[in-house]
Amino acid sequence: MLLEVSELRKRYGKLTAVDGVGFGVAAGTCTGLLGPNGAGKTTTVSMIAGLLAPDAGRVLIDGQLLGGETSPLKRRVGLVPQDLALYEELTARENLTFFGSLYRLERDALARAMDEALAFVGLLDRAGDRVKTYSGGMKRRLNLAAALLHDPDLLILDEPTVGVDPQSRSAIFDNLEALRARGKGILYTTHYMEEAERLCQRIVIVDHGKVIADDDLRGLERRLPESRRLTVDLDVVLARDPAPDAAAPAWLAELAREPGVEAAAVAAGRLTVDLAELSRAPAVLAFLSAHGQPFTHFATERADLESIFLALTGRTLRDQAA
Amino acid sequence: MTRLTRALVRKDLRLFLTDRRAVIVSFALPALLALFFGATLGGGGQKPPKVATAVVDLDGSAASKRLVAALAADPVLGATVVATADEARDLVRHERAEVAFVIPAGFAGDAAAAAASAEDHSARPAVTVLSDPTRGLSTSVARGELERAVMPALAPDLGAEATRCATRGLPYETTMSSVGSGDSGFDYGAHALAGMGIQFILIGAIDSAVGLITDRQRGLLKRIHAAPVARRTLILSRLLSGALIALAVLAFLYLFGHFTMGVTIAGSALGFGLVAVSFSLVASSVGLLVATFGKTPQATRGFGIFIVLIATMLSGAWFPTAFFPGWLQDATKLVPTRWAVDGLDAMSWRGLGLADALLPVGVLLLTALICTTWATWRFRWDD
Ligand SMILES: Nc1ncnc2c1ncn2[C@@H]1O[C@H](COP(=O)(O)OP(=O)(O)OP(=O)(O)O)[C@@H](O)[C@H]1O
Ligand SMILES: [Mg+2]
Repeated sequence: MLLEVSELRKRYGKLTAVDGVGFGVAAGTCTGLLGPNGAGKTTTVSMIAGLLAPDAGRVLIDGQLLGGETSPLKRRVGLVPQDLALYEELTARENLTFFGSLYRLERDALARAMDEALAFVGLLDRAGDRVKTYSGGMKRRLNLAAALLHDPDLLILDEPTVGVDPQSRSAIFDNLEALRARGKGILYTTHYMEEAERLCQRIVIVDHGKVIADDDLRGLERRLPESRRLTVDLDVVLARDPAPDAAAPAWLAELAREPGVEAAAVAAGRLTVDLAELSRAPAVLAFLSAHGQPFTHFATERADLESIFLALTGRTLRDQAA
Repeated sequence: MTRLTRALVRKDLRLFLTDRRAVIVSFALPALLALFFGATLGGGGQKPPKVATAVVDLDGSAASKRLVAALAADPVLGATVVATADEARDLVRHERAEVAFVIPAGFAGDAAAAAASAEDHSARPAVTVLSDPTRGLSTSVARGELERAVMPALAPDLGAEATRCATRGLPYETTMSSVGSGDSGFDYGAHALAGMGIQFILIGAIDSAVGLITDRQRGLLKRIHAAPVARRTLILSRLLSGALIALAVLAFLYLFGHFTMGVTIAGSALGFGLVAVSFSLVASSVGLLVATFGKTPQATRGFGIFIVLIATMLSGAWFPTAFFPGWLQDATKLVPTRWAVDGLDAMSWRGLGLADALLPVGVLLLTALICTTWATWRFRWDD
């Protein structure tokens, strides 16, 4: 195991921010660390990167204990911090030169690593500009590049895509996949289930400093009650009998009495149907066609962090993901 | 006042009061400065001033011995006796005496001859008054005391002539000689360079300390900490960068002073360099230390400026320390900036040699060492 974390604990005064967290990251895999605001993700990650001394528990990197400020093991870890840690007055290259030299990279090696990292995040053409002239998303990408210079075996990313546009985010994901394919281990912290789903083989969900689930995506989905909600966007204009009241089309009461339908409601042109089982969904669509009600889109609910979290804890996330 | 204004004012006041250091700076600093100026420029006790005085008797006559005894017994002067004029000059040059009198050989005899001669006293003997150019007031006081003591000392030798002197004029004179570089005397330009240099270099050091705190707030220290970097390395590198900037400022100031005011390094250039380097290290290490005490940039800046103003005021950067009351002159020896100003003064307009730089350099280096060690010990990567 490239990274093994066991029984990690950290208290801030009365608050136990991390309470016995344990998980692992194998080389060539990605582990997602998911949890709501304040769950203890950053605190956990900080202890792994050697920024914070744990009160208890241990962090093993390739079987070795990370010890001391100047531990050579630190060179095997690359941290992308949640807060943008960049010198705004310096250019991207000057920033990277500085961060690279912290790892004692030689000049040529540094220049090569810098070009590679800048290309990786798509910033080569802006590398000579001061960071303060960058957009928020560009700063995020540079923040990521700074962690790659010393070619770490374990890459720890603490919410690296906040404020990054979908295209760049997708490019970053492709590149992370490439890194993983080259045998790097990745620990990816996020609020977004779909990010973890796209990148990670293993997902660790934390709440109140405790691990509440540690499984692969399939395993997590198996724990969910089957999704039984169907939503249909109605095409109101083309309807055969446009209802005088959009919230109560003529067929709604009849639909609610169909077998396998537990509840049906319309709000703002969207029909929501709760089914006894998901296999009843086609019957509902057939019912709508039969009643001359066209629709533009339909979907069943998918597992997201919200629903998994709800299933595991019986609570909703206290904060909406930022 | 509208509700809105009231709410805004209340918010401002509350924020101000939560920043305890800002409160101290706003209230205590002006009070202390006022006290300082008051004590310096008069006031602060009406006791007669003490003037550290040395006296050299090259005459050795009965009359000169009486004069020396009178000067030694004088409550203001309490003169100490030294053997040679060079020794006396040295004492003044090194600020161990403010004034020194040199009684020339044959003083009593020449004075008697002058008193007896019918012509006006063309060949009067002269007592040389050696004085520190920054101590005009002390010099005047000492001259007054000298003049009161000379005639009574000569009187037994002069006999009846003594009374005639009262109408015909004194049978001796005093020659003023100030002790400084090339005897050009106090160079206010050079002193101001030292003072202002020290004040603004320290303020620069505070800004750099604030930079360390904003680096921490922006998570930059975290990133450095994630790399295999020892705190000692971080502190020493900041010490070095701060000192280099300070040194550059000093070099620029003295060059500027040279071309605009004709300031020169009349003493040891090496000594000047050593004082400059060691003060630069002090400034940088003080900045680091302040940074380890500060929580927010605002508080750190306020607290730092407070320390800097006190330290420069006591260093004699604003007024020569000679203006200070005696107890304060002694007390300021505990303030490292005083040694920096004295060291720079000594190597520039006072024209002293390398040996005279060593004590200030030693004090400054020790200060830098203490501050750096303390800062390293207090330093935290996160808050
Ligand atoms: N330096 C600190 N001092 C006191 N409490 C802290 C400190 N850092 C974090 N905490 C607390 O520890 C808990 C965990 O914080 P942490 O930053 O690890 O959460 P997180 O999962 O990263 O949250 P987010 O998704 O918002 O980034 C929170 O309740 C937080 O308030
Ligand atoms: Mg966090």
